[in-house]
Amino acid sequence: MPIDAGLPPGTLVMLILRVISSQPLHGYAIAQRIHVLSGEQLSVEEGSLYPALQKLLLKGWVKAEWATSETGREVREYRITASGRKQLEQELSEYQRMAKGIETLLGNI
Amino acid sequence: MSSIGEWGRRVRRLMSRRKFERELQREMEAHRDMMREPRRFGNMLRLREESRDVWGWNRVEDAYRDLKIAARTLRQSPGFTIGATLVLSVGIGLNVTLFQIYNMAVLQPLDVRDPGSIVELHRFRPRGPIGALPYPAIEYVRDNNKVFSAVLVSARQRYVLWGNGEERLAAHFVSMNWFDELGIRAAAGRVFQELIDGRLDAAPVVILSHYFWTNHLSGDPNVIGSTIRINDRPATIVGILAPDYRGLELDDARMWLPIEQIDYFFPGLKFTTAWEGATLVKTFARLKPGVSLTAARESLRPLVNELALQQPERFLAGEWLEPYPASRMGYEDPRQRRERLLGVSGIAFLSLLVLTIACANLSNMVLSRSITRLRELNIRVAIGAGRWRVMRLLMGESALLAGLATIAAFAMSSATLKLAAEWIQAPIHPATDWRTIIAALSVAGFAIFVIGFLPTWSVSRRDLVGAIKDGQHLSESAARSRLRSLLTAVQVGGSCILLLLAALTARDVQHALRPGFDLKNVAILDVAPLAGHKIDPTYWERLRRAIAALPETEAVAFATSTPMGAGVRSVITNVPESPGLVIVTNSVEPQFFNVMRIPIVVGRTFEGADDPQTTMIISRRLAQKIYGTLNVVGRQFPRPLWKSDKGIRRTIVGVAEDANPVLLEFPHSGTEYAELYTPISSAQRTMNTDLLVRARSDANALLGPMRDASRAIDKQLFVQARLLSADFARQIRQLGNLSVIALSLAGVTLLLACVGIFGVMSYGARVRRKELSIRLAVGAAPWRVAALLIKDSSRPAAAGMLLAIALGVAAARLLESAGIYLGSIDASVLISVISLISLTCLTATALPAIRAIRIDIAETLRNE
Repeated sequence: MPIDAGLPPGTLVMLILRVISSQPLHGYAIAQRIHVLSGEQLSVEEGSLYPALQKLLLKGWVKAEWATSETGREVREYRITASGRKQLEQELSEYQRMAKGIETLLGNI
Repeated sequence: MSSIGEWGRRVRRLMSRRKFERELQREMEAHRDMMREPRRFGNMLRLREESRDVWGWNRVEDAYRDLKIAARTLRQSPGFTIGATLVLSVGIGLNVTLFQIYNMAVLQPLDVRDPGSIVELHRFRPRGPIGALPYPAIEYVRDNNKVFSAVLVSARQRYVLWGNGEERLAAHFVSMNWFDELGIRAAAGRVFQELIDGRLDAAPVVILSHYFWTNHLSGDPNVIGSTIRINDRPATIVGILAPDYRGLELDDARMWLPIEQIDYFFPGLKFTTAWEGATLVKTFARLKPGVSLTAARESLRPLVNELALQQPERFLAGEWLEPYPASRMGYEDPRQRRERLLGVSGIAFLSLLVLTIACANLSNMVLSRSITRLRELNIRVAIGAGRWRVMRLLMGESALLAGLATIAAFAMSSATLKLAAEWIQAPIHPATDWRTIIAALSVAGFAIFVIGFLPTWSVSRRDLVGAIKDGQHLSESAARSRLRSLLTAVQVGGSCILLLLAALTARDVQHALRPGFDLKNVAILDVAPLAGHKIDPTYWERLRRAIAALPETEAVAFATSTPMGAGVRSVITNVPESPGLVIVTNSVEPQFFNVMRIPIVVGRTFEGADDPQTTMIISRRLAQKIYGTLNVVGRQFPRPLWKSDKGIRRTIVGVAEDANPVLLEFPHSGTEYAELYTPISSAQRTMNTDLLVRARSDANALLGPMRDASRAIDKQLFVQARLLSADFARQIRQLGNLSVIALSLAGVTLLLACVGIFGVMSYGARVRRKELSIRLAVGAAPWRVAALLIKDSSRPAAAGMLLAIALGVAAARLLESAGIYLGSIDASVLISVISLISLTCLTATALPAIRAIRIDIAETLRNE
C-alpha cells in the first residue's frame, strides 16, 4: 500500500477509525474529515483510502452499508464495530507511547 | 495470521465477488462525483484492482480467468482439443490401468478382517523352502501352538466335476473357520459353521462364488438348500459369496467346500489322514496380539522337532516353519522377487514411454500454437504482463487438456478392467483408492510438465517485447528451437523402442505359429482319474482298441504329455553335453510320430520289441547339439536320464524332426528346447496319460465317439475330449494378444511421431517462406532447398533413432543378464525397424518440403 506524503506512516488505519468512531461516514467524508480535523495539515489520497477501507472490512473493524447523504446521494457509509473500537484504542495507545518516546528523545538532545 | 472470522469474510467476498465489484465501483463513482476536482481521483480501474488485492483472492481469480481463457481457446479449435485429449487419455489411461492392476495384485491390503495379523506358514529346510505341510501336521500345529489364535487351511483343487461331469471347475477346500475368521459373510445363505458342518455326520456342503451363481445358475435364489452333484457325489448348496469376495488369493475358484469333507468328494484320497504332502495346500494363521514373526517362528520350532520325531521320514530335524505376512503375491524367493520387480519396471517403463511419446507430440503442437500466438503474447507483455503471467496463460490450456484427459483415462481404465475381468472371469472390482488417485495425478502432472511447462518456458524465454518489432525473426528462431529437436528425437526414439519390442514379439509369434507337427485333425482324450478312483488295468488297452476301431480314426497313440498342453511336463536341464538346452521328455507309443506327423529323419520309430528302459529317440536339435551330427543311431546317450534308469545309458534308435512342443512365453527365459522320446511303459500308461488320435478327415467328429468309448468301458471315469488345435489356439492367444498390443501401440506411436514431424516440418517451412523464396529467387535449385528442409528435421529424428537402438540393445543385454530374455536383436530385426522408421520419417518430411518449394516466389516476397 503506497504511503501518502501527507500522512505519517502506519497511521492511516488509526485516523480512519478515529474519524468514524463518532459517526458513520462515507469515503469522501472520511478523506474530508481527516483533512479538516488535522487543520488541513494531512490529506488522504483515494489511492490509499480505498485499499485501507477494504483492509478494515476484511479485519472486521468496520461495517459498510448503503445510506442516503445530506445531498440525497446514495453513499456507502462505514460504521466502526466493537472490535474496531478495541483496535482504535490499541493503536492510539501505541501511537501515544511512540510519540512520547520521540518527544522525550528530541527534548533530550 | 488470519482469524477464522477473517477467512469467513474472505470466502463470502469470493462467493459474491460480482456484487462486491459493483458496489465498489458505485462507491468510487459517488466519491468522484463529490470531489471538486474529479480528475484527482486517479485511475479507478487500478484503484479497484488494488482494493481487490487486499482480499487475497487474486491468484485464485487469476487462475480461474486463465482457465476460462484456455477453455475459450480450446473451444475455438475443437479438432485439436479432441485429438489432444484422445492422445493424452490413451497415454494416461494405459498408465492408470496398469497401476490399478498392480495396486490390486500387490499394494492393496488383503480384503479380510485385520489383515496385518494374518501370516502364511512356509516349510523350510536349511537348503530352502520345500513343499506344503501335510494335513495331519497342520492339525498338530493348530492344536499345540501358543502363538496363533487361529489356523486356516486352504487346499486348491485344479478341478472338481460339476453336475454330470460336463464341467471342470476350480475349487477351494477350506477349513471350517475360514470365512468367520477372515470376516467374510455370505451374500445369500450362510458360510461354513463349525457347529453344523464340523460334526462327523454333517451333510456335505458347498458355497458358490457369485460369478458362478450368476453365470451358471442365472442367479436363482432358490438354489440355496438344493442338492447338486460334485464329483458325482451329492452336496447341498448353503451359501453364495459376495461378488467382491477375494479372500487371500486372486484366483478363479468357483466353489468352496469344507476341507474335512475332501475325502468324501475324492474317495480314497485320504487327504485328512495321509502324511504324504499334498501340493496345493496353503496354511495361514492369525497371530495372537503382540506376537512377533520371530517369536512365532521360534515358538513353532519345538513343534516341528516333535513332528520330526514322530514322522522321521517326512520331517527332518532342523526343519522349521517360517511365518510370512500374508499377501496376494504369496512367498517369493529373492530370484522370483527380482524377476517380478524387473518385469514390473519393464512394463512401467514401456507404458511411461507411450505417455512420453504422446506428450512429446502434443508438446510440439502446443509449441507451434504458442508461436502462432506470439503477437498476442507480445501485446500482453507490452501492457505489463510478466513472464509468469504469460506462462500461466499458456499453461492453462495444457492443464485443462490434462484434466480432461485424466477424467477420460479413468473412464477408459475402468472400462478396460471391467472387460478384462469379464474376459478372464475373475472377480475384479477395481476401486479408485487414494493410491490410484495419487498415481493418476502424478501422471497428469508429468503430462502438464511436458505439454505445458516445456513449450511455455521455451516461448516465454524469448524477448517478447523486442519481438514486437521483429515478429518474423522470432517465429523462425522459435520454429527451429532446440526443444523442437528434442521433442522430435524423443518421439522417434520412443517409437523405435516400441517397434523393436513389437518386432521381437512378432517374431516369437511367428516362431510359435510354426510348430514342428501337424495339429490339424488331432483329437485328445484326456483321462484324468479323480484321486482315489481305481482304474481297471485293462481299461487302457480296451480304450485304444475301441477308438482305433472308429471309422474316422487313422492312428492312435498314448503319450505322457500332449504338445501345447497345460499339464506338467518332465524336463531335463542338467545335461553337461548340451549346455543351455532344456530337454523336454515325453514317453510315447511308436505311432506317436505318425499321429503328430513328426518325421523321423534318421533311424526308425520305436518298435514293440524296444525295451522301454534302454531305448530313446532324440530330436534333430539335440543330436546336433550333443554330437554335432545326425548320424547317431546306435550310439548311447552320454548319461542315464533318470534315477529309475539305474545307471543304464539309453541307446538312440532314431532322430526325429524338431517339434517345438513348448510354447515360448514372452518375455521368456531365452531357453532353447529340444525333445527326447522314450517308449511308454505299461506302468506309465496307467498314470495320467493322454490318448492322441489322428482323424482321417475331421477330428471334431471323433470327440463324441471317443467320450462314449471311454464311458462304455468305465462309467465312473470322467474324460475330456478336445482338439489339439484348440489347445494350441488357447496357448497362442496370450502371446498373440501381446504381440497385437505391442504392434498396435508401436504403430500408433509411430503414426503420432509422423504426424508430429509432418506438423513441425510444415510449420517450419511456412515461417521460413521468405528465406526459401529468396533462395529460390537467387537461383538455388529447388531440390537443394527441399534437402535443406529435410536435413533440418532429419537430424533430430536420426539422432533419436540411433540413441533408441543403442539403448534398446543395451537394455536387452542388461535384462538378459538378469534372466529376462527378449529374444536376440539380430540384424534382420534391426534392419526392418530402421528402414520402417526411416521410410515413415522421410515421407513425413518430404511432403511438406516438396510443398514448400512449390511456392509462388513473387507473391510470397511481395506479401512478406
